[in-house]
Amino acid sequence: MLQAAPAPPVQIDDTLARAQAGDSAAFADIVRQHEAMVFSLARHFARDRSAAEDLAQDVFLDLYRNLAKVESAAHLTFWLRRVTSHRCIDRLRREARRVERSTADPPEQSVPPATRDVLLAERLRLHVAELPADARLVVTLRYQEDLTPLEIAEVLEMSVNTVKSHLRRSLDELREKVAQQREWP
Amino acid sequence: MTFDDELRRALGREEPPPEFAERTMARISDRPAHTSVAQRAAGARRRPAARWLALAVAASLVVAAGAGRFIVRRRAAQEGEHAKRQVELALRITSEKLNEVRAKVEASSRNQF
Repeated sequence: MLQAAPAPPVQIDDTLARAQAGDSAAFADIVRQHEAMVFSLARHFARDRSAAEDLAQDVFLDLYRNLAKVESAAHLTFWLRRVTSHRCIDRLRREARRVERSTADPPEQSVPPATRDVLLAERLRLHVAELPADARLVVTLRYQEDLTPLEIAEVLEMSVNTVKSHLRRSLDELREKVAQQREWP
Repeated sequence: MTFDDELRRALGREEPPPEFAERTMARISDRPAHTSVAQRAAGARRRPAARWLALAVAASLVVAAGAGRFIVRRRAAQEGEHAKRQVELALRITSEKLNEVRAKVEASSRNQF
């Protein structure tokens, strides 16, 4: 009787393998490979670039501590997206509690008065920043990372229907806000 | 350009500040050294011996603590006895002194009359 061939070992990216063996230069390469993704995700949830950098560094510190658990280059990307997303949500919750305690603080994000010379991209970024945390994450992963609803659901541990619902409502809201501002003189 | 395209443009990745990776690595090097998979495996093999050593140290501490408490109690008892003797001596001296003073006072009062 023929036996099934054993499954091939999981291919681990060479850089990842070297980093897991303790090569700090390899880990630095991993940081450079993924810094834009992590930083950009963080940027949508942090009040400024400095806070986004702090959050992004925290993510890579987490990665450094948990590097042995990463199984492949693809898993690494997935892991980074998930951990960054969780940290973004945590950061928002902390900021929300801080704003509640300090009623004198101005809101973190505010849409400037509609003027014709405000670029649409900037307006969209500000409107996205006004979305609730989960919806903001879904929209960011969809349009920054080009993930499908199924991939987003896996990263955020949500159902696909919830992801689609967030996308639908958020896009409706964003379109409406942009349309309202275009109507203003 | 569709609305989706506008969103992709608005939400596209942006580069972190310059030398982000260098600063991140500097932060990592401030932390306890990262152990590789191989190092952790070696640590697991050493763990039974380390566990016994930890138990021996803990047992020594317990014995030492017990001995210490015994010494403290005995010393307290000894000091208590000493203090008691001191008080008794003081009382005796006081009593003798009082007797002397009384005798003098009585002698003095007898000479007056």
